[in-house]
Parts: sequence; structure tokens; C-alpha cells
Amino acid sequence: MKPPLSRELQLLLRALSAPLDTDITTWERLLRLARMTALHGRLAAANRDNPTLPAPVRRHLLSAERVCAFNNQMLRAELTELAALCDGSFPVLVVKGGAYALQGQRFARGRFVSDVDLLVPRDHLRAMEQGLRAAGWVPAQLDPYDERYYRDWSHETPPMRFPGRFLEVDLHHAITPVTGSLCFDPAPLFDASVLLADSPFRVLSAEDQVLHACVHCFQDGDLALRVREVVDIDGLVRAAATQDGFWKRLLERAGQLGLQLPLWYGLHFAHAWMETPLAPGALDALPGPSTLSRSLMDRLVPLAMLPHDPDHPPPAPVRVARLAMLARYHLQRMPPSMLVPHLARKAALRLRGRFTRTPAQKTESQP
Amino acid sequence: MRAGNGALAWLQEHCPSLDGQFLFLDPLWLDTHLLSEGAVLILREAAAAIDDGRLSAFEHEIADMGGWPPGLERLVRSLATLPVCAPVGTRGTA
Amino acid sequence: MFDLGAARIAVRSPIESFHQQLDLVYRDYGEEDPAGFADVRVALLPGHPLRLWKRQIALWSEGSRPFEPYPVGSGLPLFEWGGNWLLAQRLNAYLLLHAGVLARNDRALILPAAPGSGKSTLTCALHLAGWRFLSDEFGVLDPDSGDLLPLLKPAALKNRSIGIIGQHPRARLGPVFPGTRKGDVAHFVPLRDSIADRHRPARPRLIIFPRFRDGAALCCTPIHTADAAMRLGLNSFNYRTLGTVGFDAVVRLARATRAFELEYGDLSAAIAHIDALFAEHA
Repeated sequence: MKPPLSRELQLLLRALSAPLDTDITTWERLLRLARMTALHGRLAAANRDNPTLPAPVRRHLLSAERVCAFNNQMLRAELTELAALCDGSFPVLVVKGGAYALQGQRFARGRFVSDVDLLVPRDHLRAMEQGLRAAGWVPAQLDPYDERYYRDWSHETPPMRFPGRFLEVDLHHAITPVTGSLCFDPAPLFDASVLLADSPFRVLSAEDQVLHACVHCFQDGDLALRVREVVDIDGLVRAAATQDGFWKRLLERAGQLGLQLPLWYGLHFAHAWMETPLAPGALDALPGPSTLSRSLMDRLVPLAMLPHDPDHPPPAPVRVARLAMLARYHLQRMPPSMLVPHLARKAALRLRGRFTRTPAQKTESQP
Repeated sequence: MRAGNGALAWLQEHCPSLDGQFLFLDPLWLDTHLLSEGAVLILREAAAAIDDGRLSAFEHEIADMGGWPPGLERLVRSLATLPVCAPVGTRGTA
Repeated sequence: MFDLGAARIAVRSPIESFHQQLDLVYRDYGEEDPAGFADVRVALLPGHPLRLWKRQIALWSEGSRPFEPYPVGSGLPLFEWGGNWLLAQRLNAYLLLHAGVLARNDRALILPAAPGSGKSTLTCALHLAGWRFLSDEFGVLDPDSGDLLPLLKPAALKNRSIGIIGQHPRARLGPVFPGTRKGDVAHFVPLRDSIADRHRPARPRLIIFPRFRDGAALCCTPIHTADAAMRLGLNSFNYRTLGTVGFDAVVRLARATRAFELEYGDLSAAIAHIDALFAEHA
């Protein structure tokens, strides 16, 4: 049985969707935890009309709100420019934060985006990339090994940035790595996609959005302080669950695409941390993880994803948990025969870097 | 008092005159531009055209007259991304 | 915990040399309850427990280290620069001008500054000449009231400025840190009266864009309101981020003030000219 959330984490996660009335000392802790996990924008959005806020807290939340508003405006501006490149000859899907923003999803108010994620059919990926370059976007600098890694072993091409602008554009042709245990043909995603009103862009169906969020959270990337992904899953599920037949479709779709395990984890942790209402029997209907896996994840995921005490450096259990999650991530993406040379070339440096180095002072202002 | 969303309303609020020169805030990119009175006059006409839904016609007129003054076209494109207010008396559905 | 006026910053550290540096520079700030609300809360901790040579000090904020560690004896510059960076992240309820701000009778003089303009030297010199010190680095403008709020951090003086300001009889400087990435650095401590007034805002009246050039003759040119507004925006930390709020605040500020550019080679001549300008226009 995993330990319950600390009181302050419970308060924080609740305060993301409903105004909170508490003392200023608790508020200071919540602000810091929220900044650690990039949830301070959402905290601000949920407490905008909260009359009980002490004045300094109000100022901090206003600060977060303004930085987030600028971030979102830059997202909209980037999407406006990208829309001009879509001639309709092939589907272009906006996924993740860009989609939530275009859809006006309530849970995404106050959500920061770090880049714009687009999903296009693999056959048109080159054309899309070339279209971007012709229009002025420039790929991030990578050495030839990285480029090949991105193109062949990963579903991502190098991110592209329009010089002078703030957000990168990430082109994807799948939502899981090309190699790896969860790889599936993304054609069904396009088939089920939905056209947005007044826009050349499409978005994933509600079920696929939930699955994508789960995949991205539990199969992709390092998990340090990534509780915000679980907050996304909670928001998506709550919004989609108002539609008739959603749960049935979600479970069927997870089976169809082979994504039952990430969905299980997504729902499990969303329910545990955000009290996401689940349809009765939903978790049991999924072939969940083995008892051992579940027990390990129950121990490691909270340590890796949830914020530790902001007054102290991350304690050893947290560092170990993050390392374990990182190793799992690499194992998911590549079979071991490819993994070792790759690690020898690159990830060994990254692994060491993640745990001993301090990031050099950031040149862009961070929210 | 706000006239409502729309390009002209934006210009009213975010293109002030400062001792004869004008500052303009781009509504899409949120960067600031120093404009001459002449440029602002064209911008106002473009904004009116946007609000009336006849921007393409206006763009043709500009092309016939020799094209946009430098930098202005991008500002007009930004103004065109503003939501236009609904006619008085109607309300959109949520 | 230090009350800087517009913000409070709390710091803890086990490193004795750093505490001594803090005492030298923050002695007059008064005791604040460290359990009270802090806008920024940091810990300065040893860089690496196992490193016994070239020991380092690292700044921890919210469970992470945003910067490369400094040599263990350079805690104060790390705290000051790190603190500035962290404050800039959280004070976006205000427009943050990159400027020195001084006041006479609660009417403010703003000195926006490009690096190398001599802004810090001029700010400290004006303060020593009798102007109230509101800030050296962050001009904190409240967009609702149009007032400038004090943010009383010690001013970081570099290289030659250390000597120039240091020779003034009333100047109090912290220790000199040679060879930082910005050269030699020492911190100028605002005088007690200004610290006592850290919660008194000031109305902006005069903007002077200083430009120090060795040996230059004094040359003062008025700046058109619209140009002043543009330059204020360019000399801000968060003008663009604040969107319409920043725009409106800068327009209002430009309309409420007169603006000049002042090129100078002689500090006292510059001070005298500024006094005259202020008497005439503020």
C-alpha cells in the first residue's frame, strides 16, 4: 500500500481546480511546490476570484497568471503562423498543450507550454519539415548521430524554431517511439481525429487524447516533477467523461492500440492523486501490471513525480527513483541490443548530467 | 468604454498618440512599434476593412497603390487575427 | 529574512563566511521573522560535500540549483545575482524596469540602463549626494497606481566604480570579490534613511538615460515621449511579457515624465546637471 499524499500536496492538487482558503504560511509552501512542478499558472487560474487570498499571495499568483498568459499568447501566435502552412493535402494534428488551448479546455487554463507538438502522417513528415524550413523555421543544432536517432529510432524529428521566437515546433509521426514495446501504426489516430472549427488543424479524439497523455507520462521522458502530466490526465478524463459512452470507447481503444498498461497507470495515479472519478470497474477491466510492477511503480512514481521538500535538495530516495524511471524510459524506447551502444554514446553523459550537474544559468526567463 | 473586440477597438486602446508619434502594440506577437501618423492612418483604414469583412478588397487597393509601407503588412495581419464582435442584438451560443 | 520593500527574501546557510558577508551588507535591514512570508526563499549550501579543494557554494531554491556553483568565498555575489534572477520571476505583478531609481520628496528619478552605461555608479553617487535610494537594478512600477516601489538591494559595483564610490566618506561597501565573471564586484549598502523608507513609494517625474564615456563633455538631449516609451520598454525585464499591462504602464509613465539622454565623463558635473533638470521639470 503506497503512502498517502502529504497534506500540503493534497491541498495543492485540490487548489488547482477550486479556490483555497488557508493561512499565508501554507500558501507560501504551496506557491513553492507549484513553481517546482510548473503548476503555478493553474493555481493562479483556479484562484483568480478568490477573495480570501492574502495580498502577497495574490501578487505571486498574478505574476504567474501574466507569465502564463504571455506563454499562451505566443502559442496562439505560433499556431497562427503554422496554420498558414496547412494546405489541406494531408492531416495536421495539434496534440498535447496546443490542442488543449485550441479546444479551450477548462483544465488547461493556466497551463504552460514549452513547445508546439504536431502530428502528421509519416509519409508527409519530410514535406512538412521542408515546408517549415522554406517558411523560415530552423532546426535545432544536432550532431549527425542525434539526427539519425531522432529520425529512425524515435518518432520525433529535431525541434524547429523560428528565429527570434519563443516556442519550438516538434513534428511527430507517431505517439510512441518507432522502436520499443508500445509501437503501433498511428493510422487509427488520424482516422478518429476531429477537425477544429475555423482552423486547418485537427485534434485527436477524446479517447486518444487521454491515451496520448498516459503514454507521454509513463512511457516517454524523465519523470522528475512531472505530476502536471497526471493533472492533465485528470482534466481530460473529467471533460471527456461527460460524453455518452466515453468509458467504453476508451477501454476498447486502449485494447485496440495496445496501450492498456499506460492507461492503467494514468487512471490509477490520477485517481489516487486527483480523485478522478473512474467508471466502476474501469481499472479492473484493463489487464493491469503485474503485482511486482505495480508495487514498484507505486513506490517509485510518487518519489520521482511529486515534489520533494522545497527547502532541501532532492533526498537520495528521490534521486534513485528518478534514475530508475530514466532507465525504464530508455529500455522502453529501444531493445537492449541497440540500447547499449546508444547509452555508451550519449545517454551515459546525460544520466550522469541529470544527477550531479546544475543547469547552467538559464538565459530565457523561466516562468 | 470598450467598443467590443475587433481591430478598430484594439487601435483605440493600443495605438496612443504621444506628442505626435504613435506607439502600436501588435495584438498577436505583443511587440511594440513606433509609427508615424501616416502609417497609423493606413492602419485605421485597414482595421475598418477588417471589421467590415472586406480586408482582401482593401489589400488589392493597397497593391494597386504600390504596396504596403515597410512593416505595416505584418501589423495588419496581426489585427486580422482579433475576434470580430458580433452584430448588436445577437449572441453566439456557448 | 530581509525586507527589501517590494519583496522579502529569506536565506539560510551553514557557511560562516557567507553569514559574515551578509552581516556586513544587511546589518541595517533589521530582524524579520524568518517564518513570515518570503517572496524568495533560498539556501546557500556547500557545493559538493566530498570536494575538499576549491570548495564551492551553491544556491538552492525550491529544491533545485538554478546556477553553477561559485567558489565558497563568493557567497554574497551568488546570493545577490541569484536573488535578482529569482525575484524577476515572481514580481510580474509589477513592471520591472532595468533601472536605478532615486527620489527627492517622493518624486522619482529613473535611470534606465544598458550595461556599461555607468548607471550603478551614478545611482550610488546621487544617493550619496542626498537622493533617496529606491533601487539600483529593479525599477518596480505598480501598473495600477503608477507608483515606483523601493526594492532595496545592495548595488553591485564593478571594477573602477568600486574605487570611485568607495572614496566617498559616507559610502559603505561590502567586501571586494575579485575576478567574478563580471570582473571585480563589491556591494554598496544604501544609507539607513532609505532603508527606513523602503515602504514609501514615489511618483515618477524624470527619466534620464545615462551614458558614461571617459572624457566626454556633458551633453544633454531631450527625448521625445514616444521614444522614451520605446526605450523604457527595451530597458525592462518583463515589458513584453506583460503584454497590454506593460504597454499601458509604459505609455502612462512616458506621459507623466520628461525624458533626457545624458552623456557625461565627469560624475559631479552629471549630478549637478541632474539636480538642475529635476528642479526644473519634476
